[in-house]
Amino acid sequence: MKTSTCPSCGAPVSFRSIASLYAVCEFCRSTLLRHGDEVENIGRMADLLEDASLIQLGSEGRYRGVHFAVIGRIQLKHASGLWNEWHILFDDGRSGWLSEASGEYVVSALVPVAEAIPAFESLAPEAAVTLAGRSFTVTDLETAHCIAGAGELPFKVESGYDVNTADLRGNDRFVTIDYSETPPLVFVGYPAKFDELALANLRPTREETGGVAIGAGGEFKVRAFNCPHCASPLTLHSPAIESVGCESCGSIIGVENENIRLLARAAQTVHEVPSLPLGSKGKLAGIAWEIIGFLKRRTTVDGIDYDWSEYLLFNAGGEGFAWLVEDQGHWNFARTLSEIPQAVRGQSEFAYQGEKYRLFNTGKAEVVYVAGEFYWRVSVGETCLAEDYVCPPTMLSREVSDREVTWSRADYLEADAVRQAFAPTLPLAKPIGVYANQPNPNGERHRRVCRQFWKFALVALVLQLAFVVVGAASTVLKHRIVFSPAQDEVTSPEFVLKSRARTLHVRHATDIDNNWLSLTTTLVDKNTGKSWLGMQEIAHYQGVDDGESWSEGDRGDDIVFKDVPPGTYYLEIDYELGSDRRTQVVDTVEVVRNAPGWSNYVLLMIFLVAFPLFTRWRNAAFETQRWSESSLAGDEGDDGEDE
Amino acid sequence: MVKGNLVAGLLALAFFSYAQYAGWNLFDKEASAQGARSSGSRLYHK
Repeated sequence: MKTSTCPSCGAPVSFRSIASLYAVCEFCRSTLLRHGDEVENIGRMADLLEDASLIQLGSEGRYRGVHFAVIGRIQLKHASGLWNEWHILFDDGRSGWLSEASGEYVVSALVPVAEAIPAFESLAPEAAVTLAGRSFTVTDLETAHCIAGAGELPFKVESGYDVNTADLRGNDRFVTIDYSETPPLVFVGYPAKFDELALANLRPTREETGGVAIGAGGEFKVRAFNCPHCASPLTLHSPAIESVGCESCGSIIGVENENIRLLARAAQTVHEVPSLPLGSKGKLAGIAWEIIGFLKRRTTVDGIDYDWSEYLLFNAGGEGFAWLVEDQGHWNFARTLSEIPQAVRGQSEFAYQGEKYRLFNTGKAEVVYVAGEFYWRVSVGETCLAEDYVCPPTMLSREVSDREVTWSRADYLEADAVRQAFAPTLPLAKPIGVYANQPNPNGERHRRVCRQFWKFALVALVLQLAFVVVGAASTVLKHRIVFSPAQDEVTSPEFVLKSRARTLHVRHATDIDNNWLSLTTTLVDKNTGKSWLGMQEIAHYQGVDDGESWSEGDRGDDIVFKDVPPGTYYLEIDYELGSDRRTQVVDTVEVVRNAPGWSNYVLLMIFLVAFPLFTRWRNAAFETQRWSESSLAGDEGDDGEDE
Repeated sequence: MVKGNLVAGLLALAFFSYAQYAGWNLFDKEASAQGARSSGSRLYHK
């Protein structure tokens, strides 16, 4: 570390990083340029605006296991509010940047890029940019106004200059292109949660009338103030809050450092009553949240307005912000995505983290009501193009404005979970229809029924094969009989049944042609005289008509004798031949005991398959109802997912 | 539904097993038993 003396006031000035060419004297605010061991005063730095950031020069933290110290700061401002770029020095000598904006933190470093950087004017939200062989998507374009700098800085910071910046995301990386220099500076980094940084030596408690009170260890105490229009009491829960909507009069107040400014006077004419009141506290998935903001948004399709509510949640313990979205009685818990999907606008489906998402809705969303605190300068009437992609129970939403694109992930939440978490006094709206990412209750049921069906089918097949193989089917008689027109009765040879036959099939296979044959088959027990009678009609006709052959009837027929006791038997067959053709008919009669039947097996399978078919129908009906609500309904005619 | 399917399936398998053992068949043409008859003679004629 090199220490010099400020040429303006004589105060000691430290240069801990070799990358620090400039330093701002903390006493007289002189900007000092380092020349070796000497420093030159090149002007006075403007004062920083007082904000509620918890970080200060000298704060320390850890990133990916490496300790760092905060040695410098650049404060900037854009349309949505203030943000800080903290210059950090790692213990291994590397320097980097900790960006703090809208409650999000990104650790990045300056990266040399060989290829040409696209001009700022050529960029648009969602544009693809290739840097160092990697593809990134433009997510935010800002013209930032530099307010001031502090501490050690690697380049000159001038108060009051405007700088164009472009934020890009690709996979889990975050890129900022700073167009203040030529060529532009490229910073590449990763998002980090406040808790992950393990920051210490944060801003201490300061007691100041009407000022920002920071608790010891960096805990932000809720700040109270009055609406400048109607004097209603309002609160600030986080240093990231940029605007507050007054519930009483509808005014929107901008929060800038210690000052509040009326941005829109009583902008809303309709007073909405949120189902979950502002200030409600509850726990979702073990995390404590407080509802600090309420938005009503609207999309119009075919002249019909569809409204939904969004509740901004805040967790003071480091989780930051989240959203509860309520639409037609259905609830979703949503958070902004750091790693954005690779999907172009209007793409019908894409894969993200191993899941396939399908486009469900697309349209313009407009803010129609605002109440409570927000981390950007929200305004009634602000619009964006919104697209929803679903993979139930998850939904990924893209919102695109002129300068920015954001992605968020929503997970379906049962109304009961919301009720249990926040215990609202007013009843929540009952869910209507099927929501975009509502989980299908029939899906799992259908899968279980299908698994059962396959198990039953296997058992049925094993049983059937057992009856076929083990059932001891055997042919006890096979004999050729001639049915002559000159006679009317034939007797078969005898055959023996050694044991009781559950069934005795008598099969006739004839060579009858264009004639009919009437049979009366009598099974006779030779010893007891007991008989069983069976009557059959066999007919077969065939011909050629206009070159096309046809046939009708069957040349054979079966008859079954049931429960035949053991004994010696013969068949007595009385027959009558049709007069269509007076030729003899040769018949091969076969007697089979306990012949296995397949018709029962087929009937069983038909019965068993009815259950999975039914659950499949219910599953598909649910999906049909879901997709009927899609803004793309009628374009695809989809009937839902299969198992 | 799942429990109902399980019960119905087990009952159906049991019924199928008995039907196969007993030789039941919806599509079989079944003969009828008659009383004793003297061997070799006919009780009816067309």
